[in-house]
Amino acid sequence: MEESNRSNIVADGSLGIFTTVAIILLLWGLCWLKNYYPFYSKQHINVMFGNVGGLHASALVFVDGIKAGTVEKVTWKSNNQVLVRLRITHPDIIIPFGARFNILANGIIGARYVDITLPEQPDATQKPIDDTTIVQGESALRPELGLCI
Amino acid sequence: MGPSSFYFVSLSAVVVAISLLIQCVVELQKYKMHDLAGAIISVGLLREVGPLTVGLAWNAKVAARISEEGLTSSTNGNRLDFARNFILPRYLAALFMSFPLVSYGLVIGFVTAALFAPVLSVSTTNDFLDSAQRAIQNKDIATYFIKLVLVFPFLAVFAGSVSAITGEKSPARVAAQAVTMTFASGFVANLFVTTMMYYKYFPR
Repeated sequence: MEESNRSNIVADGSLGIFTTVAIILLLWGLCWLKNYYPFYSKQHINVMFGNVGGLHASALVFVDGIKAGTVEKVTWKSNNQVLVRLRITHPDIIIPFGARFNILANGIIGARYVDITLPEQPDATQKPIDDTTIVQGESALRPELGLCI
Repeated sequence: MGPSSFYFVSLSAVVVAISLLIQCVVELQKYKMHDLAGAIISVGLLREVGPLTVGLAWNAKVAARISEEGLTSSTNGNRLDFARNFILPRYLAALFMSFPLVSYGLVIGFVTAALFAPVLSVSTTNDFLDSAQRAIQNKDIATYFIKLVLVFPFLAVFAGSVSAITGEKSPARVAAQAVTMTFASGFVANLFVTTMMYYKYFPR
């Protein structure tokens, strides 16, 4: 009887560990997939573009060629007004006011990404762009239109 | 049908992921697009290949086991008691066990593909992961879990129970019938879920 109880406890315990590890793996996978890092703060930037040229959520954001984050959301607001929400996840990169935002493509028809150019002479007084501000970006270059001429 | 199925699910996930990787790379290399392997494989695994291979295989195993159990269980001819005392607990067990099992299957399949990508000289593991990260959308993850957690276990338990009640009195034949029913209904349900999830992306 005692032996049976013990084997039941072991079976239940192993089932619990099995399920818990699965949940942890799944949550870790989802955090990685969504670029969500709960243990350090990240910067959110809202950029308004006239034309995003097919940029979509999860596209990459680069600063000086370094992957700095991802596009969180792309929302069409009105004619020539597309709001793109960026999430900067690189722990060392902070985007200040005065930075320029461009949408570029890998090759002529390659995937779109957001390229951020930091101000030439960073000023210590320049504050990081906060979540409530909407900054203006430069519309996507569309070389495919040039090829149609 | 719980943790003891882990080895089956893991092995299936590993070999299916490697096979899919090889097939995708062979085709993508023709068009010099092998950098997209991560995106295509991860989306393919999530939307269709994972559910239709690893998922249905595990559910067929569940259906076979349930049909054999159902055949030997004492129901005294009362189908309501059978549904209450036999089907419901097994359905709940399948529902709760499918969640961790399909999570393991997903992670193991995905990690295997990422680790094998450099072996086939397609891209580095990091490139593979970056490409996958850009391609996978919330809808793809939802599709995977709807198919594998909500739909397939229900079909497996239903097929196993129906086979036990209506099938012939030979365990082997009942199990074979349950497996066939699970696969047939699983394929149809898979098409239905895919259509529902991606209907708005159909070309007009």
